[in-house]
Amino acid sequence: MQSRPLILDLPRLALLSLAAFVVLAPYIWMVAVSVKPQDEVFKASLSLIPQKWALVENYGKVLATIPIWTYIVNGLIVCFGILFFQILFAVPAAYALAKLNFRGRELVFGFVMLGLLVPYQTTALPLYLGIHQLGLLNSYTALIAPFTCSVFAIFLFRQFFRAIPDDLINAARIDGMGEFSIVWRVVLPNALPAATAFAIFSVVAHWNDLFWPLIVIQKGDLYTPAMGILAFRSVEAGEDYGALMAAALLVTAPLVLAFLLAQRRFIEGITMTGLKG
Amino acid sequence: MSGIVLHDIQKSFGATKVLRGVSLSVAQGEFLSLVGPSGCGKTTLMRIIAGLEAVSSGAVQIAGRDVTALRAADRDVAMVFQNYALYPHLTVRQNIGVPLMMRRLSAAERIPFIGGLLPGVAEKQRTINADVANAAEMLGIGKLMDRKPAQLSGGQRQRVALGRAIVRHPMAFLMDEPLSNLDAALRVTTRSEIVALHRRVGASTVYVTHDQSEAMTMSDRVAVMMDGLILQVGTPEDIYTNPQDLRVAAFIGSPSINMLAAEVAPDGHVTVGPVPVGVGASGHGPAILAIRPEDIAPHATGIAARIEHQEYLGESLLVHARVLDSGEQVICRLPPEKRRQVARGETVHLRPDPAKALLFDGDGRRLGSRVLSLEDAHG
Ligand SMILES: Nc1ncnc2c1ncn2[C@@H]1O[C@H](COP(=O)(O)OP(=O)(O)OP(=O)(O)O)[C@@H](O)[C@H]1O
Ligand SMILES: [Mg+2]
Repeated sequence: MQSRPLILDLPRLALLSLAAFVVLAPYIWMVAVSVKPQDEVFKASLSLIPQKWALVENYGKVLATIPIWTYIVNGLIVCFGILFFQILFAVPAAYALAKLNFRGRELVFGFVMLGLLVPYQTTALPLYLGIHQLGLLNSYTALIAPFTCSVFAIFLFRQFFRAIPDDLINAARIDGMGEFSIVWRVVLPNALPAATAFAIFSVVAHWNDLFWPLIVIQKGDLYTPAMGILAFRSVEAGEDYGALMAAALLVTAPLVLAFLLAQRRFIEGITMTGLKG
Repeated sequence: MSGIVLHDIQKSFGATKVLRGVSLSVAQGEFLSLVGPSGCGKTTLMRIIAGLEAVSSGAVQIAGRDVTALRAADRDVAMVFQNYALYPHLTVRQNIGVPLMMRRLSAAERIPFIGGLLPGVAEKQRTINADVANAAEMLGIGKLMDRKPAQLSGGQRQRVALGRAIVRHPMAFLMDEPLSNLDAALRVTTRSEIVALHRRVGASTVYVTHDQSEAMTMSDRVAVMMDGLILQVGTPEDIYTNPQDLRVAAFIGSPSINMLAAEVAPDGHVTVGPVPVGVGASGHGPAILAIRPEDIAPHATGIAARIEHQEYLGESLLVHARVLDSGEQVICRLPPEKRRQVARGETVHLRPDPAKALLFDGDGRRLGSRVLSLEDAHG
């Protein structure tokens, strides 16, 4: 490949950098605030570098006030628990909807589409009551179970699976695979870009979710990371922005890290050429 | 013992009848080609034999066992698809190994990582690898084993698909236009390689193609299919020289067979227009005389026709002529040295070889015919 002279790329690079800066600015500001002492946060001057570093105080305060590692482990268990079951249920369902012929298929798919239209807040109350009656409040189950069947995942995978050639699936059948082997051995490995995209979406959504954990969790040791941040917004502690930002940074760090890793995988998934004649 | 036997297979998709009663038997180790125009139901029939499609009625037997109700996985047939259908995410070695892995390892033993720790799996895996290597060796793809399908040329993918089919020594082989994605030169060499492979493996093979030269050169027998029916099954020579249906006669052969409106007189003599052609038939009335281009040539007397143009092909000369009386088009294949003896616009008299002439009734069914001496015909 011939490389273009840098000068031709400069306008494009400048534009992209500007856009990236706009997107990243809040995060950068958060990083800056997390190392500033309280009195500097409200200074009129806009400066990223603090005059007096408060890194140790802010982060030390976070680590001393809340068991952040417990929360992060909780977050990992919940997010990957949800993702595991979502994939486990949605992929076979999507395969059936995309590739198998059975009576009522269109009707079932219609219900999936309908499910997409229902915001999950509407079902929160009945779900809460159900979980309460089962005596499952304050448990991982309460955090994970309501999200294990994702209509969005079914829809997304179904659209993706439709592009997989029928003959590939027929070849697998002739090679001796049953339908479940086909799903896990042929269909899912060939839908990795979709799976990665969905995984990012799902993990981000549930890592940051505050609504549902606040409903079903009262016990501190089951707090999720997002709930942990709330400790610094409480009335008793006052609004400690430095520590709040430090906590937010610690809580989002695993996500940023995971995303950077998944992004590589994501690009690999896309460049892994699919079926060609 | 018979390889593949089909009993009166019918198949409809909704209201459209795609197969209308197909019966066929492929002997053990036989290579049978299935030819027919696009949309006649060849692929559908193959999918039914493979177990990918259920029959509407009829039965399929493979190696003496009724498999009509069995899944594809339980039928012991292998299939090569037109677009090869290799697993894009697996290497060549894994692609070829899949059918063995699915058959020789139990569900538990196939689980990634953990399965490999079970007792005896390592040994089984070794025999699988050895068999895969054997198949690859036979096809000359030993060097490509660690590549993914996307990194292979069309011809190489074709071989991997063949390897995946032969590796488990199936009872029957199905190939649906396996060469149609290859370029012309590769197609011809692969053709003979498939024939050689078939001899070594010896499984009953059904080979779908719409390229009749493939069907004629490769097969023990050819089945000609049209509109959901098998019209004729026979050796390539039989199909070519002795078609039982006008559609078979017209489909096989290039350029296609000449068809002339004819008349069977009450005394059994066949005439084209006013000209007797030295053929006798039983019954009388209108008929169609079909004659291959190489079996009709200019002669002192015969059917008057005007030459329209000629095509020089090197080994032969194709002369296109139009019959003066009826306006029908006739193609004659002549030795190339005749080139200077026939000229455009000239009128010639064409005489079909009575021994080679084929007679069909108005519905396209073959009529019995015999050669008469031309004196008889005039008498
Ligand atoms: N799943 C299906 N639903 C409805 N009609 C179908 C289906 N599969 C095939 N057909 C119809 O059945 C007929 C035969 O199709 P088939 O694929 O068997 O033809 P073919 O002989 O293989 O043709 P080609 O040489 O073009 O591959 C076609 O008219 C096709 O439209
Ligand atoms: Mg076909």
